Amino acid sequence: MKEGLFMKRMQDDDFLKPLKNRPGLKARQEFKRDLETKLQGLEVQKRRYQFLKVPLLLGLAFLLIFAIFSENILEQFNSRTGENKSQFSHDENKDDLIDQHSKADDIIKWNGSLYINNHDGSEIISGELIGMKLGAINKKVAINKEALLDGEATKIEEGTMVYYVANTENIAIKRNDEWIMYQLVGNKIETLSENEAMKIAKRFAPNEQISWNTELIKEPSILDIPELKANSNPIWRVIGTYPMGNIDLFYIDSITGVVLSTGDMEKEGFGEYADDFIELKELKDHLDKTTYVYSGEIKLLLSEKAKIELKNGTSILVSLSGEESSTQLDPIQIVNPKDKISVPFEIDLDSEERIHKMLGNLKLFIELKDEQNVIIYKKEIKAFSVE
Amino acid sequence: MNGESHLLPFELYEHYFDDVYQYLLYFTNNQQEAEDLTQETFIRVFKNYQYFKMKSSIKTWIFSIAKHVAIDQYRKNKLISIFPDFLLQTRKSQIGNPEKEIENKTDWELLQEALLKLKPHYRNVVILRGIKEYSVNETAEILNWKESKVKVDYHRALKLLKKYLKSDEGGVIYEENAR
Repeated sequence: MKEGLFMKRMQDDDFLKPLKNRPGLKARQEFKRDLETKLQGLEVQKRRYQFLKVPLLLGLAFLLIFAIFSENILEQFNSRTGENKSQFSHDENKDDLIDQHSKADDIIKWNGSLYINNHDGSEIISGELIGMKLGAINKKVAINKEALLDGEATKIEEGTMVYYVANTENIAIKRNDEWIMYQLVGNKIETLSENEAMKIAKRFAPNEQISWNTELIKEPSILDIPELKANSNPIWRVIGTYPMGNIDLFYIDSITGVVLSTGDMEKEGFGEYADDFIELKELKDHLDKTTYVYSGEIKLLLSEKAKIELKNGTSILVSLSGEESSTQLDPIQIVNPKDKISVPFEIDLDSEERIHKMLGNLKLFIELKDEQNVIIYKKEIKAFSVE
Repeated sequence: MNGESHLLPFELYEHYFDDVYQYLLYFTNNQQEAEDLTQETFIRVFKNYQYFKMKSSIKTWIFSIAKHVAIDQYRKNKLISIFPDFLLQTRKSQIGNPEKEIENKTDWELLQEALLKLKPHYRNVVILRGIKEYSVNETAEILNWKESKVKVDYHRALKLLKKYLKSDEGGVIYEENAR
């Protein structure tokens, strides 16, 4: 195999230098501007800090007037739903999409696509809308497709459509100085209820004797489990307790319903297993969904009840249950059988598809063989991702 | 908490646009794809800004979003690339002298091509640590790895990159950990 031309030219120290100066690193200004316009529609209210400087009384007065004013608008909408048309004359300069101080209930969140339908069900506008606050008036919405208004196709200029969010079902759009109300149909993001989360968990443990508890973890960053820490949505922790006291744990994304992690606890203590002569302690494992690698460490301890003395040359292998040939590790020699043995393992799950298949059903197979390669101990354990 | 914590989403866009775009360009080597992914990244930043707790650096938070976006795209491309790859190989053999083609390529093109052959996690660590020169700590935060893994994988990735560059241009090299 001959040496590559590039390698001939470059010294090791300068190895990546050509890439650092590669052409095309500057983005097209036109693209930057276009994206800027789209994102303007999503910009949070910049004036919140200025607002804090306003004297308290003036601020309260403003809020009061605004609240009364908003109520009047809603009444007008409600009274004219049949006509599907309303006239408004309020401040259109308010340009916030989501006020960070709003309560979550006030914010309608949309997952990507938005379809605004006419009252007869016909679609008139489709595009992208990220999120909006109830009662917000906004001129900047990322609608990027053609809209059919009054039977005529009209290209709505990005970032210029004026809308008012009447309620979670309707949106008013201003056209020719008139407000027209339309139904909102789209992928509205709903948070899973406690019962829905429990229902998901029950699919994995369909046992009527289990009693269930839930807890909504609003800030996943407090969790010790790395892959949950980074989750941007709140997480439901669902705990199923068996009559004998052992429990099953499920972590479920409160928006998507995806089961992010599962685990179990024995009654005597977390992660502890027992056998006639081997005790399996502290299974620490981690599933990296980015690199598809499941890795961890198993600690083995020779029990006092041990009837078989492990000799030098005893080997252990850790594999995914039922897949010994594809995932088994090289045997690890036990040097001193009286010592606690720490067995690191790393199993490449190859693909996201396999991870999904394995989630909730990941089992490890531990096997010890003596120097004659005779199996002297084997055990299957349920694995879980904890650290 | 750093000085960026007070930045609003639109200011973050101004601040990090170039870096995010460059990262995605290195990852894809395709201007159109880099633009699409940059757009997706900042939309996600704007969508999720309200959930950001300022407990980590905002820079690493934005880059971890960009990383997810890039890897999602990589997986989509992987799914649809089996047949086109086959066609590409056939076409290559008809183009003429491949050695001549390599000679005509500049250093950065050869490096970029080799970078694209790396698995995404190796590619990421080379871009962030090697090209963008982020610290081990920042890279670890972005990739959600331990610092020791960043060091080890960076070393392995560079080794692999050099292996690709040294290889006979027409040949096929498998990654060390591929099975």
